[in-house]
Amino acid sequence: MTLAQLDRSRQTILIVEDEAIIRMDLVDFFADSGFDVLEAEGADGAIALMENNPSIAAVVTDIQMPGSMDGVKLSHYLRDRWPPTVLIVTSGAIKPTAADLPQGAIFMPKPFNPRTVLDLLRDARPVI
Amino acid sequence: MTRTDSTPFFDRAISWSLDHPLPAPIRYLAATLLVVAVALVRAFLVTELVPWLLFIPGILIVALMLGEGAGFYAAMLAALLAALSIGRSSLPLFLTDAQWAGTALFLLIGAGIVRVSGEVRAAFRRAREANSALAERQSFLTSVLASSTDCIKVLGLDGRLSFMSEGGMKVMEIPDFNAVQGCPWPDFWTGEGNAEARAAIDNARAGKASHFTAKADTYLGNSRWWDVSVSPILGEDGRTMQILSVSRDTTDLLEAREQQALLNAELGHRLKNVLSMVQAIANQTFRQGGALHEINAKLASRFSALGKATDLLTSSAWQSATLHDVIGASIVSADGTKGRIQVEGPDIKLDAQVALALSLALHELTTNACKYGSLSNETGTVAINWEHRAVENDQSGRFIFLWQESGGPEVIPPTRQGFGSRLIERSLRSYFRGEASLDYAPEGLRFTIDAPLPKSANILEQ
Repeated sequence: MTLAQLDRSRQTILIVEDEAIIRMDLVDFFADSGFDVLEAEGADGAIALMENNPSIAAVVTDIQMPGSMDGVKLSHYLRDRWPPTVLIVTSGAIKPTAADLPQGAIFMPKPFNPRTVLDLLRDARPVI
Repeated sequence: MTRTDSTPFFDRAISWSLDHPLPAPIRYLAATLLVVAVALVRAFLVTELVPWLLFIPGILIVALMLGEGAGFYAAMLAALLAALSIGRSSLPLFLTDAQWAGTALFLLIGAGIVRVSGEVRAAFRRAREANSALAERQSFLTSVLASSTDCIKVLGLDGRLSFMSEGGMKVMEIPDFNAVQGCPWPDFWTGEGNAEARAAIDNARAGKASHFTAKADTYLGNSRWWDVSVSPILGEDGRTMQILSVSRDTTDLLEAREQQALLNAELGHRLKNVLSMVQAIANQTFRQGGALHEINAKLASRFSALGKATDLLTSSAWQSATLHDVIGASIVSADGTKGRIQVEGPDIKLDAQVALALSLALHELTTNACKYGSLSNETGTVAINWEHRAVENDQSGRFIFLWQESGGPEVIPPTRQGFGSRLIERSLRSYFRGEASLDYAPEGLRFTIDAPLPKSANILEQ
């Protein structure tokens, strides 16, 4: 069962990115592609949104972000607390290995083509 | 030169005479005085001895100290004075036959003594010259070794230290060579360096030179990178007698390389960030739609603004830019109407991200003002003012920024949000963590930021 089939209602995606111009553009792109989109500029905001929005099925997060938690730590935290979430981690500076990331998380080097992420989301199977 | 230190008196006297050659008249006068003095002593005190004997030491001294010429002269003068002292005017030839024979013999012996003395003096001079050349060479080599900043060492075939250059002790921070003399040299290295050092000694024993780079601590425990060459010192039979090891401290070079690699990585990172930004700006420009040539023009103008903003940041190694510089770079597109933009406020340092975003927003505002706003007619103006306002119970205070257009045509609010207004209302709010709004008042567009002074911001002047 793919993510698209998992739930017939609209999917919610959370974009975590501190660079507002890039975040705004990603939000627009996924909204245009039919998702409900939420945005956060850091891990703390992302976790708060996760807690209040059980409909979030996927998270796209940058690695370098201000605050106590970077994107890698955030992805581990999300995997532990909300195991089925589809996790996509991006960065222009760091290339984490598969071992650095939680199971099933996908790394996209920046700049990335958001259409590739869209395909991934459509094909992605929840981890559990 | 250490040689003269322990020289006996005789050596010193000859050395002195060689170092202080006297002019010929003085030499001959000195020889004359000495021979006359000997003659007088003999005449008054030891009259019963054969007349010539006492002169022999004098002739020897003169020949050794004053040279062969003065020596021959002294011998002849001595023979003359001796003859005068024993001669009788009553004799038909002044001296007896035996006395003549004695005089001749004395002259012969005297000449021999002078010749031999001359040779001794010449040999002494040659030895002294050879010695001083040797000492000079040695002191030259010593100073070369001492002034080299390389650590030059000589090791025994067992790899133990037997010599270290003075400059080497300095770079290795060794206060006293006795502390390390005889220590196995590979023990100075740990890990990979130790293996390299052992292999290099084995190679040198086999007559081969080797080269390696490794890390080792100085005697005082400071970590350094060393570039090391190890080579055999061959004896006359072609076999390795000792081992030469020369290490150069290349810490600075390697650190510079590391720094370079870091900078390259950082540059790559920034390049990707800028590309992501370019991607976002392009997407946003296309989203607004319009004729292709319009989109094209907008993109070109936005990329040019982005380029100017990155210029500002490049000069500060992507750390920060001052607000005045950001405004200066952003309003360039106002071109001929720049004189109608009034800028006033304390200079504030903004971090790179904020500076870049504000710079793009101001570029949008400027472009808009030139096309539709107060800079689109002949008389309208733009006032850019900002201040740092102290607030009770808030240490950092607030940053109030105002862009006010006036004297332009009546403002008509746009029917849909463009990139500029979206950038301002959505992004700037996020970058400044405060309010950022556009007010399409009919008398003139107004843009305000009311935010806590950014943590990274620095007020340079009030």
